[in-house]
Amino acid sequence: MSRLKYNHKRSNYLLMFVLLAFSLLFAAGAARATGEAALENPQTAEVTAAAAAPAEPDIEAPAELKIDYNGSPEQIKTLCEHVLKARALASKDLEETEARALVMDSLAQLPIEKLTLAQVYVHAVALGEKRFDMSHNYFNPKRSNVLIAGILLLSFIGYFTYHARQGKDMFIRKIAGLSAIDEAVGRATEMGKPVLFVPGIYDMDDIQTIAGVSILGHVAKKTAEYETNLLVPCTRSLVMSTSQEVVREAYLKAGRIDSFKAENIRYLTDDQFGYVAGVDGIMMREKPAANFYLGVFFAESLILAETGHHVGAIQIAGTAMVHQIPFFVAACDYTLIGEELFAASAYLTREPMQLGTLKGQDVGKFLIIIVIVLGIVLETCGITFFSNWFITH
Amino acid sequence: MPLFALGFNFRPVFEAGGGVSTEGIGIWIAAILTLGIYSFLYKDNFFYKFSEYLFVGVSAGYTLVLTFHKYLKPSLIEPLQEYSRDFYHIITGASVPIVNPWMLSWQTHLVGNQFGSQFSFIFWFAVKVFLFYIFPAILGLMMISRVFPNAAWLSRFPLATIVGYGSGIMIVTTLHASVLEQIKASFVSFAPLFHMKGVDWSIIAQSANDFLLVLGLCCAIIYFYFSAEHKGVILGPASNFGIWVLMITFGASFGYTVMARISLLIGRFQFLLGDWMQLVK
Amino acid sequence: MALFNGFLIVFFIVLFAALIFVGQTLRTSQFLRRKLPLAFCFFMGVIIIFQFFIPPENPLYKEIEDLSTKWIQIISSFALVIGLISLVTMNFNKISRKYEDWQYAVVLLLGFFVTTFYGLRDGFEGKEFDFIFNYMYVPMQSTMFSILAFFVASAAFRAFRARSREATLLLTAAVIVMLGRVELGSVLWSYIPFIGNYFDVSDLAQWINKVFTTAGQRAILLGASLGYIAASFKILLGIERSYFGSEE
Repeated sequence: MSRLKYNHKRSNYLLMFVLLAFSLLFAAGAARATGEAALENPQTAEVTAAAAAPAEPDIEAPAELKIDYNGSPEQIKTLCEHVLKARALASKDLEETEARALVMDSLAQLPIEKLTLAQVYVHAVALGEKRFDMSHNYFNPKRSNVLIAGILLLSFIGYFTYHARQGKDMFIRKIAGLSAIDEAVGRATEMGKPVLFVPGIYDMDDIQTIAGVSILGHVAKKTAEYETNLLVPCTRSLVMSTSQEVVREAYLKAGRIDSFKAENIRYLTDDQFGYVAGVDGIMMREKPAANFYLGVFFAESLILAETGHHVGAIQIAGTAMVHQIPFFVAACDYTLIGEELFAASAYLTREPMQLGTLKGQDVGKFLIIIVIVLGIVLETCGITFFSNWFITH
Repeated sequence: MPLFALGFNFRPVFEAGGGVSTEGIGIWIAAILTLGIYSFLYKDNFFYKFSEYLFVGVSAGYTLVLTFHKYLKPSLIEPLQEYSRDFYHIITGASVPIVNPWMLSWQTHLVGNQFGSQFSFIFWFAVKVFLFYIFPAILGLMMISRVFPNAAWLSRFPLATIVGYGSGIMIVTTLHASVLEQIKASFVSFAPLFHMKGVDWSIIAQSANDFLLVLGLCCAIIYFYFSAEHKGVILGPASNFGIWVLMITFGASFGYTVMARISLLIGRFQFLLGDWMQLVK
Repeated sequence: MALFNGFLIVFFIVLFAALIFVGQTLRTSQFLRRKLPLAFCFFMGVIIIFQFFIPPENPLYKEIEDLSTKWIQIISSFALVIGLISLVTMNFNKISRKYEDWQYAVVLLLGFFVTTFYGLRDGFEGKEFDFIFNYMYVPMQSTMFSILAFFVASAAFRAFRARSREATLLLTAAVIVMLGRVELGSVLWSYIPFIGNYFDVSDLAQWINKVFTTAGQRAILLGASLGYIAASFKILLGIERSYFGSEE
């Protein structure tokens, strides 16, 4: 019952997403139609103000106008023309006559006598900018293929995610590397040695790191149950603080918060090889019996994996870095290849919504295969519009 | 000394005139640290521990210096200094040139000497300063609030911001740069095979390669299928072939990288034998 | 100049104190603790996605890009402080409690503080910082990198003893490509009876690269992309939030 309630809340997010997407599209359309958005964004205001500064000789007011701050409407109109000319010169795609007509119309509706010269000056430039901005679109039509592909894929993923809450049991194939986690931690416990977890060398803004950290939560649950030491050397301080939170949570849930050691989750250095040197040192001294490498890895992948093998640890690696997977495959006992790393969260938690996302991904893969076959058939028949649609800009 | 007797000609620390050569000392230090790190291949020892801890310390210091000079200073400290300095000069009426364009235009507004004209300017200025500098600084300070356990939950905001940024950028860039581009690249054409006159082996070979590529690609994608067991008439053999393709891929990229890595080693030996021992030029 | 710096420092200290106060006062609010961070995450993601679809000619494109990268830079610069505090306190503890290898912690702290001091004082141009960079940092970095050569060899050697079908495939491909990349490889290849006379090993290596490597890497890339997209989707909608840690 509680799960139903929980899922119900999630559906609000979907609704929010759709509404926001629509409102954004609507706003973009409205902005394009009326050009009002130009004054709404600070960028325009900044350009306006910068243009009003007498530093740029192009836009500087004529000398005779400068003296009189309460110039006559005629003087102000001349000034506006001057400004517009400068703007037109500055931007080639501004159609000068059109822009001038716009400014003049706008000025005719204003009680010009009540404005100072500086205000009119700014107003004129703002109008010029506004016209300038109207030539801009808020949607790049060249990227419509990305939008359509994105909506298609996300709607598949979203559909299966939100249908998963009906409670349908979903099959998920065995992923050897993930099934081996318990075994590896168990082995470390038997040997009385610690477990080492390396969350990669990228920051939290990379999805692989987040996937790695969510597996860390699972590993920490096991080490808390078995009362085994868990070492997590980090190369980013944000990853360190996140890992501390995740591990503390796992120990809290297992009721072993007293055996949680925050100092075991430590920051070494942001430098790639400095970090590797440090982790190698930890491996040589602490002799962990189970090593996990889950996240983003570059050249250090093999250094870590070989050192780990040297100290006799059982090793589980996972990354989506195409060029590093071979080294992990060669040197580790289990490797999560590419997408398997992202499937870990669903595989380990077995939460219906997470499994649903996985199903959505599978449908996405099926779709990709169909599209490729279709594309080949059309290409062979000499029909190119389909493949041209995939060209990215 | 015996090494010198054997004809080794190490890089001298002292210059000919009698002074100490900075470069000489540097090369000696670098050589000792290099050997210290290599010594780890034999076993963990004093030299490796020394080099390792020094490396971690120096690189952490370097990270701090880099972050400060490359990120924090240009994107937060310098603009704020500039704004506050210009602000001070304007309100005191100092005859010092105003640097920032925003401040400059405010100064020109002041000439008009009407509050109304300044209002919108001040508003947008405040919005800009808040969005660009104050707000991220608040998020950064929230991160540091982790030091105080009671306020540690504040660090969720900067974390969420960074994670959201990463996720947003990931969705569009992978769609753009990986999915569409890779699919487009897989649209091979078998048209030459059908328009072939007689038997042209080069076209047949090319088409066979293309076919193998597409087949390998599809099978390897099927290997990543999660929601069905890899059994049966299609999924079983396909995912098996997919694994083979992946393994050949891994082997090939392994083989390609070996040579590149060996050239790195040669580079280090050039330093040890050339710059330090002066055996090779 | 000192006046403004002083003003800024005082400003940030007051801001920090206010934040800590607010943080301690509002720590029980479930809305602030759970929902608002998720909303931040969602909002940030949507803004970035929106920015991608704005044409580059529109000033807003550049503005959002600028703003978001600045935010990330500033946040991660501040975040670094937490890591460095952890590093320094841990090593101080090691020294003060005379743990095993505490002498090396002195080396670490010395390296850290000396580099930081000269780096912050003189920037990248300082003589002392230059010395540390050129004769300690760079050599150690490239040495650590070059250790890979040994490890590539030892990993390859271990793969030789592998008995499974997959490992054999990996090894065969690796050997062929390695042979194809060096002159010596072609010479060795030509001694193999029958096959050696018909085609060169470098052609075979190229063929493997053109067909299998392309297919395999593309499959991994496409699969990983779907993983990326799905994971990002889950994160933006708040389905995946294990990275927040505790829920209470």
